[in-house]
Amino acid sequence: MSVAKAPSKAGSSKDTQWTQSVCKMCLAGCGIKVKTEEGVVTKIEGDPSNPDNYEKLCGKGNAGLMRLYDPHRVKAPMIRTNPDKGPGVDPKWKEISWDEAMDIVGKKLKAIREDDPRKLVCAVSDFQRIHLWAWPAAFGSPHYFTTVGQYCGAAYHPINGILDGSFACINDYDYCDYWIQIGCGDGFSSHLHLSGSATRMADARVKRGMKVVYVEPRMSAGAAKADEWIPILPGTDRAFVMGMIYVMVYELKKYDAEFLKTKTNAPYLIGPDGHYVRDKNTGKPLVWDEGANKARTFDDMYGDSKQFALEGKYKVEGVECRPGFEIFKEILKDNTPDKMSKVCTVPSDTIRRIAKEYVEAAKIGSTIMLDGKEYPYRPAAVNYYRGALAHIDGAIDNIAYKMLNILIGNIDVPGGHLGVPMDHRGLWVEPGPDGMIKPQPHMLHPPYPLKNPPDSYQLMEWFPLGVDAGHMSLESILEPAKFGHSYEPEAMLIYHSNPMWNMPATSLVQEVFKKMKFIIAIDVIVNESTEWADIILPDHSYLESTLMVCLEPPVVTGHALRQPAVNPLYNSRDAGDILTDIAERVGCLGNWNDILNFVLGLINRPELMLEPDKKYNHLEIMDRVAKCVYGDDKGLDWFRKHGHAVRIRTPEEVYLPYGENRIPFYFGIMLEEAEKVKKLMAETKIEWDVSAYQPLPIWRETALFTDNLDYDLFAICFKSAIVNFSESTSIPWIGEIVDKTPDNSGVWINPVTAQAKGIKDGDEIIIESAADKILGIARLTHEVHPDVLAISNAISRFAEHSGVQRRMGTHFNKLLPTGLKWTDMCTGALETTVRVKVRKA
Amino acid sequence: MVKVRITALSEVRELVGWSTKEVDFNGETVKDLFASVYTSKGVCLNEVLTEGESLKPGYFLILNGRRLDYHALLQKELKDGDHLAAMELLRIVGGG
Repeated sequence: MSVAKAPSKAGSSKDTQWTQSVCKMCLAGCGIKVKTEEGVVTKIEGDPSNPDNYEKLCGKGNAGLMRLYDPHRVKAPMIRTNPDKGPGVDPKWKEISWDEAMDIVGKKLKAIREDDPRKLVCAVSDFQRIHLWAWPAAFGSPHYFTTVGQYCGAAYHPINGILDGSFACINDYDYCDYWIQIGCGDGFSSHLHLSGSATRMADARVKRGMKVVYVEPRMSAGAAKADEWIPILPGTDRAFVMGMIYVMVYELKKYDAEFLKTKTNAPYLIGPDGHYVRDKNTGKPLVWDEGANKARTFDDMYGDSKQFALEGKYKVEGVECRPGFEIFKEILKDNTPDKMSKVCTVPSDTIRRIAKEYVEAAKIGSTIMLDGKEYPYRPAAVNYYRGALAHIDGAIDNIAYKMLNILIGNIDVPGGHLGVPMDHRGLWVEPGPDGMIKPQPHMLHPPYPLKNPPDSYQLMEWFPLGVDAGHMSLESILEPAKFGHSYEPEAMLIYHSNPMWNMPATSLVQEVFKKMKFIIAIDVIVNESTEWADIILPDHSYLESTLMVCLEPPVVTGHALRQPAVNPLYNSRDAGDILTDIAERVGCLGNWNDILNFVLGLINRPELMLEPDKKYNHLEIMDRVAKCVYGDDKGLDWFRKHGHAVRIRTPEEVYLPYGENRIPFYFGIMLEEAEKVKKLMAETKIEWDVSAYQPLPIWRETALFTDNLDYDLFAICFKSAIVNFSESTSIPWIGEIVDKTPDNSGVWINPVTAQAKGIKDGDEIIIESAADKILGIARLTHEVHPDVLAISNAISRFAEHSGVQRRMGTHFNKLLPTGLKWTDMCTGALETTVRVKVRKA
Repeated sequence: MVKVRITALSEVRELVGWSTKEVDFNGETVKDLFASVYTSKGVCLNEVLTEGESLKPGYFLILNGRRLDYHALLQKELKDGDHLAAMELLRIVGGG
């Protein structure tokens, strides 16, 4: 293998060099140091100077050098010579030159763009280069053909943005003493910046004695280390939480009333139509002043918000109305712990005990001094992610978990539940109407205007609070008339994405791929999707490329520079440059530069903006990004020398970001958007349920509990810390760990359940849903709920021609159905639990 | 008088016929600015960017790097060195 000479770095010896850079073995972007000896990368370590992860680095990060030297990397542009496509069909790749490849791609895409740019379907998912997600927009394609969002953050990000302008959220590692974790792996196995978070979690528990309560259907890595694991039926976490809230409000009568009155809209009077009751003269929302015994506007200078009523029924100018809190109390009457226990299978005594422990740990009314400033102090919080809200009613799930936090007044205060920004810009806090913070449900892109019929296959025009429902593309593409699409797709562009693997209903995904006349892929290696490509264009590995990186930092802010530890080993190009080249060839370079100006923030510095008709390489663009954020003296050269500008966020930046703006207790935006969608969809013949838009959390059963009842078990999937996506397992070190970890040795099934079905440990089993069936190996363990089968994504690999060992092929996503019935009609989230039955093969 | 820079991006650039303009401006608000700036064909910006009381669907305005609500922006007083950008962005990126 020929290896290029490594660049020289300060502090390195003659033959050994260390390069500061950023990991890309998952999306987080931990700081790393890469050791090269005589031009060969021999070790990767955590960067001790980067406060995001200090010197910690997970197994994936350590194994990154194996991706660099992976013999199965795409080493040059390749063209398919076998016209047949399908599972197991050999593409018979042939190497071609870049000129030849780009000529073919340019001509094909130019013709499509001139005909109708909507005929190009794009699957773009490189999370460290989110700016490249905008390329389809420059081309004119509105599509998003992947389920990365629906599988995790669709019901997460919009509600976070509405609450406090955050993209993600996390409990306060520094001050929390009682941490409830529902359906996620923060601090243990996944989600926000794992290496640093695991350190912070460990510190909080060892140094401060923080208690962790884990609510999950299986004993995950985190649950195994927690103080308490509470097994729960999948998709019912909200019922558990509603039961807890009932206990707090009705039995213990403990919640932060002052916070609700002064920092939220809980006291705003709500009329029978669900909207604020407003002052006739000013149009401002009214509250009921208990001291004066009259209604007044929320900001009346003579009012004292501590006197605002949270409970009661009132009549204001002939209108019957109640504070939002009173309405929620009415809803709660139906959510007793005994009733919720029957839904979620957690004993009612446990629900009561956890509620009591939680509210007592919150120390309601206490304060803390930080950097000379006094803050409310609420050292208890609930953290959650995909497992808790990737469900049909995902938006309602998220609001319920927020409510458990809001009720103890812990939003963005020390010890509590903190907003996490999308990047260095911090939370998006702006004053909104009615004394409230401005809702920010759309951080990834501006909302698509409501439109009928929709342009996008993912129906984004019908989900005004949604994140692109990529899985809906399957029906849209296979049955175009169903949602009014008047055109057929012709080509697909896949960039660092694997829709064949990450989408539900795999057999339908294959049908979509078969419909494409031309598939272009940009990636480092071949995966389940790119083996269907007509042309593959090789991207540099992260150890060969340059990028300013900043994404979802839970406790830090600032960029770190990904920079090459070695020169490119093969005939690859930077993906940004490839896309710019295609943009020029198809005639949308001006659009591309305009959009980059916006998404990269160059618009903040007009003199740094890209000119419309000039071609820039990725180094020039990254240099401008660096200067735009940090000043003219801190361009790429500065970052090459210093590595990063990452620092811990100050208390002033983290706590109480919403200032004098109230945050929602009553999510009125839900009703406003529901009314718009209802009006629009009345023009169609499509039955469109808007009941998922709820301003307050409720418990109700969804199709998961009412349909396919002859399938007696619930299947869930999970991700190990050692695995990112399917291709991770093709790395020998990771593969070895996967093979030797019991988590990944088969399908988890409770011995009691297995015995009833005559299944023994190690048996080959057939798992069948209403959508499809898969084969697996039974692994009997008491560490899973008796009604649940749990399947690791590490055993899901099924690529045939990437030159790597298939790992079991127990591909969970094949079991998932698709369609509106399995979609959160508010956010577009996909239901990721599925009813199944199991038998011995 | 204040000096304001106005930039047209994407479809708006094609509509107005120029990329960027430095404007010596006697008015006070964005509304005044729109009334005093013209496309290369001599059409007032108010006419090409708005429909009735609103911006055309899919268009938005960015003042000094921050996207602002049109109605709030219309009344905003401009100061020397301000940079206003207008662009059409029906779909910018997808996913989550």
